[in-house]
Amino acid sequence: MSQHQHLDRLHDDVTPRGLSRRGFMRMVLTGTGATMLGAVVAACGQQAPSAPAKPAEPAKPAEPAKPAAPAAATTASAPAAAAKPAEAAKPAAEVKPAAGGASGGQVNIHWTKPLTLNPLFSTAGLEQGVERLMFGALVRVNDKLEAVPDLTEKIDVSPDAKTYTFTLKKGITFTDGKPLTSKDVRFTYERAVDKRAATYWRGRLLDIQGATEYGDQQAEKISGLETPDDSTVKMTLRKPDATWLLTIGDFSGLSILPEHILKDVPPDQLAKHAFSLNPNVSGGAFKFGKYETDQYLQLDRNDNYTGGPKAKLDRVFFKILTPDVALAQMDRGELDLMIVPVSEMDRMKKNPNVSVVSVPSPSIDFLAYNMQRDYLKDKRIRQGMYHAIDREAMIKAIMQGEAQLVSQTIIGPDWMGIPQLNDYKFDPNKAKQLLKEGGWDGSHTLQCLYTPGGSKERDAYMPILQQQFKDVGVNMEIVSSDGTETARRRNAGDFDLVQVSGGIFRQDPNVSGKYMETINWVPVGGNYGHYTNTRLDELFPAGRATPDKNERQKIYTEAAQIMNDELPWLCLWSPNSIFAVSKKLVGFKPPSYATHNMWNADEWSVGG
Amino acid sequence: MGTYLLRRLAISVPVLLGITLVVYVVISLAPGDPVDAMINPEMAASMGPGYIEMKREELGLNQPILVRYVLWLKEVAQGNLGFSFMDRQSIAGKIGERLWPTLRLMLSAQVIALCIAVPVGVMSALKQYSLLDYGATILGFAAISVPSFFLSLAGIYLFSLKIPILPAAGMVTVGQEPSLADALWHLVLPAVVLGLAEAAPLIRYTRSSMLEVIRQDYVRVARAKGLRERTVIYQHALRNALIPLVTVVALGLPRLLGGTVIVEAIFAWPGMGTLAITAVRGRDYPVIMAINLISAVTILLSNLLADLIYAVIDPRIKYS
Repeated sequence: MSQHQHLDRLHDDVTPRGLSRRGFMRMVLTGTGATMLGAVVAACGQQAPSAPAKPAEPAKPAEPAKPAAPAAATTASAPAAAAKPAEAAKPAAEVKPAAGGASGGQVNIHWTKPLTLNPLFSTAGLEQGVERLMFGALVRVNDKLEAVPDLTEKIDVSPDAKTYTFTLKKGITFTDGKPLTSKDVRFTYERAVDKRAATYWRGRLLDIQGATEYGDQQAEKISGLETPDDSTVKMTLRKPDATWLLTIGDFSGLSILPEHILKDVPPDQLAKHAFSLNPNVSGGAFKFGKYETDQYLQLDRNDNYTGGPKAKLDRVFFKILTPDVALAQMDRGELDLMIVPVSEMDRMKKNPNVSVVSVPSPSIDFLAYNMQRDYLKDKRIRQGMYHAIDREAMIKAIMQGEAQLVSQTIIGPDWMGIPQLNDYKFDPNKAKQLLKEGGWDGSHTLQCLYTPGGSKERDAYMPILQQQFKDVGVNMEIVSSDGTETARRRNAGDFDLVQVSGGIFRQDPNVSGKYMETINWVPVGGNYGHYTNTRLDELFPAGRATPDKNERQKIYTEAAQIMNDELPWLCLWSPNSIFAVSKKLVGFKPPSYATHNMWNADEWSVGG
Repeated sequence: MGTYLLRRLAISVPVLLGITLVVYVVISLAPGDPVDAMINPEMAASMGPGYIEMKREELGLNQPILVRYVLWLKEVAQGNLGFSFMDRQSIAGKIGERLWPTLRLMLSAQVIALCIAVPVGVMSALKQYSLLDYGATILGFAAISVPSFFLSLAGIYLFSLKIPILPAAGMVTVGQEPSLADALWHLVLPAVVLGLAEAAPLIRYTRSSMLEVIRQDYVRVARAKGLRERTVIYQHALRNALIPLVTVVALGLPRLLGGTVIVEAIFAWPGMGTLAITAVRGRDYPVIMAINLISAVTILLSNLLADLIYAVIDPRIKYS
């Protein structure tokens, strides 16, 4: 059931995995109604725009330039300001890669606290990004969320999109010098689908023929996974899937684990095995340096990397910090890259040592309706509520223009485009009329589940939505609770509306199916409101089974029309991903999905 | 003394049981459970329909609260704190690696607090109603009233951004060889913030205790004997004035432990506070219970310690 592949993207946002420092800070700070450092630091930015950012590290390790290394890095030419969303889709926002770039140096990145560094178990994008640097995979995704070969030199896809044949690069090895072969790939995939191991990847890989049987210990091996020789991996799927490479390449891609290290670990012991926080044998451009609990993770360049060009940086530090402290460190030059909230963007732009870049993200902020509620079943009620809210004004005022209006979830990629459909312009009168026609009598107060503290922008727009609904006669109560309680009520269907942010809808139109098909009702999928549309249930599988892009586009355009008319979700907008990048970091290319920000760290260098 | 100690320890046992029971019941009644917190729809889908129930069963969540509590107690009695629900790591290990950072922060803060509170308190008392006394009072009240997260953020703003002389967060400089100087440099800001908050009440205690003592007859006698003022104050008055302070300090240790939670979160200090917050948000019952157990033991031991030290430094007090 690979159709579940991207749910985690949403759940990064909506389930409380680990301490969200921003959440905690918000908890502490809302008590006084003042976001202190924000205010204080903002004042700083205004008073002293050119405050000298004192370099944190007294001296960069002065790695003697290797004779073979190309000339010194060119200075990054940074965009004057965040590119406008429309332009940003093109590489206009990109910080120019250095011609050649210098070897050596180190970079500090703002990071999150990891639960595990074992790629089979990671669910957070920031963890997976790091794993992708340490490990190699068959395919990975690039900044535009396209699947590209990684450790493979050739991928053959059968015309019916049912058989995928991967040819590994020649002579690739793990960091301990042992060869990385198709046997390691098979081992990794076998562990990934093994039910006892309970991995994060199992669900998306069950479409491989025989994976279910193997996973349930009913078969000796996965029948659809063949390794005729050391460099060939052949996957046969149960049914055609044109999106398969995206499935196995998602973000870090399914990293290839070293069989010779882990083969004797019982599958049910794999998660808690020491390797999970000390993955010291891997096959990527960087290798594990050390992890200091709750402080930082250090990756060192893998000097023996054989899967492609060697990384330029000596090492990368991933620092675990609260967002407020990270902003302070960014100001001081102790941090080279972080994801910046809209509210801090202007202040960051004032720092002469920092570039701020913004690109459209693949995510959407939306309210999902509980489609099982009788009083919400008439679509005119949902259409009326859509006309009641002024999204354009909110994008301008709250999102500072850093978001794009979307009115359904099929919004990319380029070959798909965004179908031109009803935008449901702000029109309170039309809203009232539609509500009346739909039989809305105002006797229900809608309960909207919401987890505050995720971002200032969300906290700001929720009451506005509430007020604008009220203006047309729809009372909505914002039920604020922590992520765990929100998840419980959402899974139990105990809500009228639920606010969610996330998803990677722009990657492939098929992603929407994970939230709209009947088989994906929560708690087993992302269909929060238990929405059912028999036509959509035909269209999404048909789109998956069709390799031809023009055909797919037709199929998904029809799906978009249905969603735009039925409105199972009230889509607000797609926010931009905004990054602050120090000007000494050369080669950073902003990815559309924010937590994917270290995706090309092997190409980075330091200069300037 | 020996029997007293035994009796006190014996009394502590039911108290500890009571505390753990109440905490266990309360966290179990909090809305949502660990499975809600960690369940990933994708995982649920791939593992089949019974997965969520299976997971609850595996974690023992399908049993009544009291049964779970007794099972937990049985394990703890054998010295086994169990495994974290969230990342399946051993709790003893998780706490072990975070205990020292927390202790380091707590003890430094306590030392700073005493170094500030005792001299300032004594001077305030000796020069009652002077400018210094009023100044100390106002600053003391300010330090009590201003929450530590504010002090922390203001400290970061002042000393890391405006006058960049201290690091904004962390326990060591990332990517540098660990050194004592570097560790101390990182310790200054969080320890001073925590120490200031702790010092404020201690100043008041020292002051009032000192005021009381310098009016005692034996101090007057000491003066009448013609002793030098310094000897009177430091040898006769101060030593007696510090007796109540010992109790206050010992009883204040648990409060200090609580204060570190917030300060740790702000300064990205890799201690137990950070762990506690993560655990609460994920409804990671075993970790919450382990941390609570440690706090409860700390509180009980602090109380005991206060009473014992009292007996040592004040010969009038005898336990039998």
